[in-house]
Amino acid sequence: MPYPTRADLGGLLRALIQAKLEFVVVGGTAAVLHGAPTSTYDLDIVHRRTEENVNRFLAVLGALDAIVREPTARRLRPTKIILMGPGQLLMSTNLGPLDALGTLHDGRGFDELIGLTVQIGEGDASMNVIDLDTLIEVKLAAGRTKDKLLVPILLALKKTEK
Amino acid sequence: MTRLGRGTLTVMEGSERDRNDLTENRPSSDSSEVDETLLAWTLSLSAFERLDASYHAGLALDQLRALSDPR
Repeated sequence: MPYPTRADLGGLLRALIQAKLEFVVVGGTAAVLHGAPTSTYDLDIVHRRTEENVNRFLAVLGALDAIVREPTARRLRPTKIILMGPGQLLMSTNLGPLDALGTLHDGRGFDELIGLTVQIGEGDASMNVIDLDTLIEVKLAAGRTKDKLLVPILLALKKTEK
Repeated sequence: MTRLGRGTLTVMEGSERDRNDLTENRPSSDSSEVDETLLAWTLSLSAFERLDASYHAGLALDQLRALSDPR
């Protein structure tokens, strides 16, 4: 059965939270969690790169039947050595695309970002989401059309915070 | 559901927006225009409701794209 091409964002995040994974939600999903009325194909997270956390990550990825998303479709499985590194691992899962970022394009990883997050959600189902200021900064730096189009919405959300 | 479907279609999904202008009852708009009514609605939802709304809106966009695909 083919993997879904669009991420079930809630389903994926529930699975990661239940696995007690330490991560920061970034990208379009962070915008959605802040209240942006937009849609996104994948879930982007920056995970903490400790051995314990990566082992937890691998366990949940196994349950999600994750494979590396790459053109030759060799069904390669994510590995510990890749998830411990600073690179970006793009995966397909049975709940849709999931991108695990060791660091953002600007080099910031979990340890640098965790202080720039807000908790969104309730109780056991809450998660660390990159804050609006940092998300705007990242989207502007990315410079892609789809990122630039999101910025006015993020700025409007910023106004509602005051 | 009607409101979700109609409202969410007014937002853009990356560069796809330019060739899939699904906006209803609106003049051509620039990217600085923000639908404040829609924004207020999403802000009234819980975190997981926002995620689910985004997911289902995305699926609806996929279906519309498939329907409009000339192939």
